[in-house]
Amino acid sequence: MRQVRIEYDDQVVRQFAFASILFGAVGLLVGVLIATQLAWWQANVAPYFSFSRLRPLHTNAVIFAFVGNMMFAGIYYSTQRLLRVRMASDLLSRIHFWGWQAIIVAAAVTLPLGITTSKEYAELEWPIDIAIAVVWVVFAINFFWTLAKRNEKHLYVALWFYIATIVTVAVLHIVNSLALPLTPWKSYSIFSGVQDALVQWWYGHNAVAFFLTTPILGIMYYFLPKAAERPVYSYRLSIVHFWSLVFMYIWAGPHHLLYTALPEWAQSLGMLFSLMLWAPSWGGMLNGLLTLRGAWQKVREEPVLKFFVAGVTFYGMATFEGPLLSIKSVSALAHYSDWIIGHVHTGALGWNGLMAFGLFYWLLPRIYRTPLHSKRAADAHFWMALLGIVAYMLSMWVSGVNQGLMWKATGADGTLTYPSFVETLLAIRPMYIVRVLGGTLYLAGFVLMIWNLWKTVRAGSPANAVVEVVVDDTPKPEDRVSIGTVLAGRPLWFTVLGFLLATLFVFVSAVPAVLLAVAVLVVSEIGYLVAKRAAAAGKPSWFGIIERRPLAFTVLTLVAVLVGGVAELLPTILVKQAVPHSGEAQQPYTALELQGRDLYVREGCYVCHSQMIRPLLAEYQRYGEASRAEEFIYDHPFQWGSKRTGPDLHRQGGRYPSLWHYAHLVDPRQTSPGSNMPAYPFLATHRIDVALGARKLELMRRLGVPYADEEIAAAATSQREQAATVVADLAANGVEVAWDSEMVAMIAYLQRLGRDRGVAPTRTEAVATEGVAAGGGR
Amino acid sequence: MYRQFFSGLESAALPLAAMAFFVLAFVLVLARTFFWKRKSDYDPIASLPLDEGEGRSRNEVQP
Repeated sequence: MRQVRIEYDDQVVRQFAFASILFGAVGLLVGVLIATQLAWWQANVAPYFSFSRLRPLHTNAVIFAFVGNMMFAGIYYSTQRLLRVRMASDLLSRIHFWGWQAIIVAAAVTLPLGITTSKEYAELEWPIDIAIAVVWVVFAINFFWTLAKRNEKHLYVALWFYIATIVTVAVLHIVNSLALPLTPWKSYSIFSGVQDALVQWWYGHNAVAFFLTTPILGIMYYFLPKAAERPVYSYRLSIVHFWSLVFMYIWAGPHHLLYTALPEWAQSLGMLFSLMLWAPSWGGMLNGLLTLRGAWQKVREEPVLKFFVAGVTFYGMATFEGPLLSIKSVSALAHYSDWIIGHVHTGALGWNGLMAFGLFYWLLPRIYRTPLHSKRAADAHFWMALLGIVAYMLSMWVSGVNQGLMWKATGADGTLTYPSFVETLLAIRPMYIVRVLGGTLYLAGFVLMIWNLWKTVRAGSPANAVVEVVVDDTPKPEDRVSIGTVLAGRPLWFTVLGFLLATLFVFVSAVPAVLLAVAVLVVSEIGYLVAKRAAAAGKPSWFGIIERRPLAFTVLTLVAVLVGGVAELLPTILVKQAVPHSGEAQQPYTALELQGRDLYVREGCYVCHSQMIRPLLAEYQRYGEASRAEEFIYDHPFQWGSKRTGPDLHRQGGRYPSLWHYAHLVDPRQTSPGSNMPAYPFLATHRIDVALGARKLELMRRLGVPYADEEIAAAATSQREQAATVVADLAANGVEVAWDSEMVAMIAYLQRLGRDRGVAPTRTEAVATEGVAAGGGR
Repeated sequence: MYRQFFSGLESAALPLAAMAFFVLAFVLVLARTFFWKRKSDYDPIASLPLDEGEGRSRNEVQP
């Protein structure tokens, strides 16, 4: 027994909280700006503040700056108190804080400059990616070092969620960021096409899971009981919630790629696990809400609880909507539409935002030792935020369902009812305006919170909390077991066995399937009886052993996470993509087309245009033959996109003359009246770096694209020759433009799309001409 | 190997069958969660967030 005096490091908590509030305001402001740009295209200021460059800034600011900093504040505060120890290293805490802020500033500078990888939520280029990895490792070392020094042996469930976050985000970030650098600010993903898409959405989905969900669940499990002044409803349910969530989440990524060229089995697995995810997610939501049993009157009185309860409820809504959208037939309607945007914001504004506000209102008065300045202002903030979210969600639901239905609508003669894409855009514009209003209301509530917290902080004084704790170092029976005992634990083996049987289940016919199901039940029953007998004998449970061992716990968490990732990624990466069904694969891009492709990436065209035609009748009619896996084997990175504010571009090549593209890029309203696309007139005056063409081919060759030495050596000449055809075509129509202008490279790339050998022509000239006349492009 | 392995999947049957299996397993786990507890294992840990400032380590009150 010993008495220990602990002074918690609350300085780092304050720093992260302030950074979250500051960058949250920036992220929301940019969100309102880009929503305004979608409603009124005139709000675009080319080139740095156009929608396509600012949208990644908005998502990165909200995810990594607002939620990220909030998460770190919550983690640093709760970890120290749950472990009864100060963070292991103040220096590492400071490096973590300032390093993370430097990364955010770097993102805020590079993204408007067009420095981007184009991989959603992973747009930052390779030097920043390395910095993220280093800072994350610093955070991990500090966290696990603190675990090692702890005065409290038990690891509360919130810490499990933090552990899962730390190890999984590291794996996701490193794998998805693997790239070869071309210049200090440009790199190409080592993956291409289907592989790149699968890796990206394995990352993208699990960034939502392990950056926006698991740490916030940890915060929920710590701060909600504190605010409600009662323990969590069912600690045991939280254990089930944790293991089922971390195991299942990682499998669900392919639901972002339903009906694409991704192999069917991967799509089905993604859909299946997405549906299953509904159960543990709602288990967690109910566990949070039921913590307030018998204390619901407090919700009326305490703004903090209002935010937490509404936040957890939005978690439930988002995790119901997610599985719903993962059903293939629903996805056929909703994917690429604003419904997905509404869904994402249910999670971001509702779950993350409201939990963050509840945390700030609870935390800052405590670490400044003063009451909250105004509960009435906090209540007003709650209602403003809630109404803002509802306006946002409803407008995006209406808009998304309308888009989906209009894209698919066909008349009595079987032709598209709305062949011009712009028609659908004009129909949903009122909803875009409602979104601006909803977002502005949410931002106004945020500003009110800043005022309220500022007044609170001014009235208080910052000080680190100090506590005296009595530590009992006497070893417990649970501490004396070996790592072998941990690994030999029956629950572990019953889980492995159950998983293997469940896996076999899907490969057998009806009768063996029934026998296997019976076997699973028998195994479960035996496990139950054995565990019951052990409990009766007074032996420590396996849970009692494992929850005191952070290393073993971390390893098991990592295994649970990796199973899904490996099962989905490995077959896709091992399978050689270049085995086309049509007998023809994609042809490598020319040097000029590659230059144009990089401009397409720089300007963020993928933000609004997909390059993936799904095998659906309406898409065939609108865009042409469905996209196939072999057409993307040299796409480093893939450009499938995830949203259609404009039409799909995969079969765009040769559809319109070069003059149409020139006019469209200079002023989209010339060719597509009603379009909300930003204008890119500067492409006509900016020049490409011709010398870089050869280096690009060389780097692509290192990634597996079959360029011959002669092609690389003649890159400068070939660019000029190919550009000359575009320049001549434009000149014939009275447009003078330099051969090495960005405009020519962009047109060369756009004219190439979907024109590889083996792709049958799917649209007659008459149809294509009609499309031009009707303003069929965006 | 993996291609052959997964090419045998019947995509419509897989989600339905596995969903039924999952629901059954989930109900069993829930039943075990709520109806068979080792209170000594969980209750002290569940109250950890509420102990802040009391100045005591949970280790001291371990049975």
